[in-house]
Amino acid sequence: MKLSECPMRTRLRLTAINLPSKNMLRMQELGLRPGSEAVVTQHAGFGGLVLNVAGSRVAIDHRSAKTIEAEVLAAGSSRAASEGARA
Amino acid sequence: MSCPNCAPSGAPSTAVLDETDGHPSTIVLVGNPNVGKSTLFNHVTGARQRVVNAPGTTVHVMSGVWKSLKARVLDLPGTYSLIPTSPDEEVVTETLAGVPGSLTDSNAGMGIDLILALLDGGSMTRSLYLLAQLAQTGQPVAALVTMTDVAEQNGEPVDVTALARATGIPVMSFDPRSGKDYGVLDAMVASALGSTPRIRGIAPDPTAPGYSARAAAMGGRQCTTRPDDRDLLALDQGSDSCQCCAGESQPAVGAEGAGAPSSSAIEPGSSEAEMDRAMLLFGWVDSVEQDVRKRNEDPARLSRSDKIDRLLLNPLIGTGTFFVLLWLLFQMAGSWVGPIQDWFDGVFSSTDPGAFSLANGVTSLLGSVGLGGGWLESVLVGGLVTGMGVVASFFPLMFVIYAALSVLEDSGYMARVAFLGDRLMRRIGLDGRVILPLIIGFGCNVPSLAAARSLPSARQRLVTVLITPYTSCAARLTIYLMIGKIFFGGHAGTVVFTMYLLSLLMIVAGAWILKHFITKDEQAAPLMLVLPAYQMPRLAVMLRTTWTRAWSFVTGAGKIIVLMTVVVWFMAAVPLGAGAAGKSFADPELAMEDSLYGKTAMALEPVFAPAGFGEWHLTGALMTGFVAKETVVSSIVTSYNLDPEVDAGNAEDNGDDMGKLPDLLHQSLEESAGHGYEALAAFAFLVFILTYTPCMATVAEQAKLIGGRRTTLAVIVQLAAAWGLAVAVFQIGKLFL
Repeated sequence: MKLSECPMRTRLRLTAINLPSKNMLRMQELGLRPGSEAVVTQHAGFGGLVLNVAGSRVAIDHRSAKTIEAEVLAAGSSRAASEGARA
Repeated sequence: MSCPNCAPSGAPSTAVLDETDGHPSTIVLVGNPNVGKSTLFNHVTGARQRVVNAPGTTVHVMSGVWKSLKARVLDLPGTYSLIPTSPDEEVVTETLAGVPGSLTDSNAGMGIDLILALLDGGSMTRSLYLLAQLAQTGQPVAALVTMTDVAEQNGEPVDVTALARATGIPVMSFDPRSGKDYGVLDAMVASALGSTPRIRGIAPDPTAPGYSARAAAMGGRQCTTRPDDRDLLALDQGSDSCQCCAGESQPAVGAEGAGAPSSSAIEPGSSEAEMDRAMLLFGWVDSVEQDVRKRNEDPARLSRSDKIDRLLLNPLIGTGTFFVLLWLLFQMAGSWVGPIQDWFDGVFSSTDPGAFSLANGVTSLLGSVGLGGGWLESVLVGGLVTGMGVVASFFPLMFVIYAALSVLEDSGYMARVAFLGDRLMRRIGLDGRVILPLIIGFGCNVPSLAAARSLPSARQRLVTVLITPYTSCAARLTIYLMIGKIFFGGHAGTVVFTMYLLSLLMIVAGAWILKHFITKDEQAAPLMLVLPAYQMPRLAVMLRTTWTRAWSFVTGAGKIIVLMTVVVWFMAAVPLGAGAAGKSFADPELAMEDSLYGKTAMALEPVFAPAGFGEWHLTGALMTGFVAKETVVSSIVTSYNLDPEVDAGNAEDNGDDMGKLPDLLHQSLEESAGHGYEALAAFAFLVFILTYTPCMATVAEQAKLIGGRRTTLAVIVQLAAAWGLAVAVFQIGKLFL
C-alpha cells in the first residue's frame, strides 16, 4: 500500500520508492531504502507524514508519501493498532 | 608490542604541530546537522574563533584554535552526505578533499591532520553512512557518538566499544552540551593526531567525493608494521589494534576504486555510479550496525519528540503556535528592539548638547585642535559617524533576529515549520524550507538572505533571494506610520495593514511568476526533512553564534552602509545652482535644495510625476532610502531644513507630534499631485517604498549570494516594477476620486 495510507505506529517494510533517480540517492542516504523497516509516527498537517527509520525521524511531503510503497509487518502494540486503525 | 607509528595514549601535549611542516595541526569537525558540532567547537575554542567564508563561496565556516591542543579546528556545515546537494555540503566535500585554495589546502601547509566525526547516536545508520564516506576520503578519522541519551530513550543504545572494534578508530561516547569529559576528549584527540587512524574495512577511493590523494598516500605509507605483526597485535589487544593500519587490516569496501560502479558502462560520478557506491557503503554500514546498535523491540513506541510533534505538527495547534511565534518575532523586530536601536544610534551619532556620543566626541576633539566647524568635522560627524550610527542601530535588531533564529534552529523547531508550510509553498514553486527566511525578512531583509544560503535547491535559493526584498522589513514600517498618520489620520492602521497585505501579494506574485521561468520543475521535487529531536537551546552557544553572525553583518554590509552615507553627505555638501552662490563646500548654511543632493532629487521629479510624488523632498528621501530605509524619515525632515528638535516634533521617533511636517508635506504633494490627490500620491509613495530596493545592505547580500550581474538586473527590474505599480496606483486611483 502507499505510505500515505499506512496506519500510524505500525511496523512497516518499505517495498518500493518511485521517485526520480536524481532524488533517489538522497532519499536512500537518509535511510529510506527498499527493504528497510519504518514506522509512521505522525500524520502531520496538510498531508505530510513523519517516518521513524532506524531511530531517525524523517518528514515526507504529501506528494512523496504517495510514491512510496510499504507493507505492514506487525502492529506495534494493541494501543498502537487501535490508533492506527483510527488514523 | 606496539606499532611504531601509533602514539601512546595519555595526557594531551600542549602544542600539537604537524611534524612535516611545523604548522599547527588541523582538525575538522564533520557530522550531520544538529549533532552537537557547534557546541563542541565553542567549548574547545572559547573566544579563539572567527567566522570565515569558504574561499569562493558565501558559505560560513567557523575557524578557531583548540585551546588545550593549540591546533586549528574547523567547524564545517552539517551534512548528511559528501555527495553535495547544496553549497554548504559542497564546501564540506571540497574542504575534506583539500582542493587548492580551500581552507585545507595542503600546498599552503593547511592540510587536514584529523577528521573528528560526530555520530548521532539516535540515527546511527545515517551517521555510519557518512563515516563510510569519510573513510573513502583517505583522511585519518576519530569519532564521537553524541545524542546517546536520545538513543537510549529510543531503546536503541549504541555500543561504543563495539564500534571502535568494528571501525578500528578511536571512538568515545560524548555529550558536547555537558562540561564533563572534555579532558578525556583532549587526550583522545591528541592521541589520534599522533596515530592518524584510518577506518577499517573501507579503503580510500580516488573516485569518491572528498578524496584526498595526499592523505591517502600518507595513510598507505606510514604503516610499516608487517601484516603478520598486525594480526598478532589485533589478537593481543582486541579493540586497541594498530590504528594507523586499520584501513588495510581486512578486505576493504571500495578498494582501488571498487566503490565505483562495477559496470564500465556507468560513467564515474554519474548518479548511477553514486547509487552503486552508496549500496556498497550501506553494506558496510549494515554489517557494522549489527554489532554496535541494539535493535528497538518496539519501534512504534513514541519518543518525547514524537509526543511534542503530535501537537506542533497538528494542522490547527501547530499552525496556531507558529503564528504566535511569528507575532513574537515581529514584536521583537518591530517594537521591543526600537529603543535599544535608538540608544545605539545615539551613542554614535547624537549631536544633542551634552549627549555622550561619538559625534560629540569628534566635534569636541576637532574643536580642541582648532579644526572644528569646517568640512572635516562635517564629513566625520555628518557622514562617517552618522553612517556608523545607522550600522550600530541595525546591530541590536540583527542580534535579536539571529538569536531568535538560533533558538528556533537549536531547539529543532525550524524543521517543523518548514514541514508544516511545505504544501502551501509548493503552490508557488518553492518548498517549506523557504518559509523561515521569508518570515525573517519581515524583521530585516539582510538576515533573511543569510538564512536563504542554506536552502539546498539552487533555483529555490535564487527565487528566494529575488523575492525577499518584497518582505516588508521593520525599517519600512516607520515610513508607513509617518505617512499614514499625516495623510490618513485615524486610518493609519488600515494603511499599514494594507502595506503588509501588499507585501504578501508581491511575494506570492513574484514567486509565481518566477516559477514559470526558474522553478517550474521544483514543484515535484520531494521534501525529505530530517526532524531532529527537540532540545533545549544552550544559552552560551546561542549567544556566541548570534554574536558572530551579527558582527559578520557589521563588518560586511556595514561597510557599504557607511560608505553610502558618506556619499550622500558628499552630495549634500556640494553647492550647486544659483541659490548656492557664495556658499562653500560643506557650508553649514547650505540649504539642501541648493546642493548636489537637492539638484539630483529635483532631476528625479519628472520621473515620479506620473506617480504623483514628483517632488524633490520625497524623491531625495527615496535616494537615501536606497542606502537604508531608516534614513527616509530623517531625510524628509532635514530636506525641509527643519530643526528635528524644534520644528519636527517627534516624527523621527515615530511619535504623534510631527510639528510643521504634516503641513509642509501636504503642500509638497498638493503641488506635485494636484489638489485633492495628496493622499493618493502619498499612498503611491508608500507602494514605491514597499516595492523598490530595500537598502544597500540587502543589495550587497544579494550580490554575495547570486552574483553582481544578476543582482544588478534584479535591482533594475525591481525599480521598474515599483515605478509601474506606483504610477498604476496613482493613475487608476485618480479615476475613482
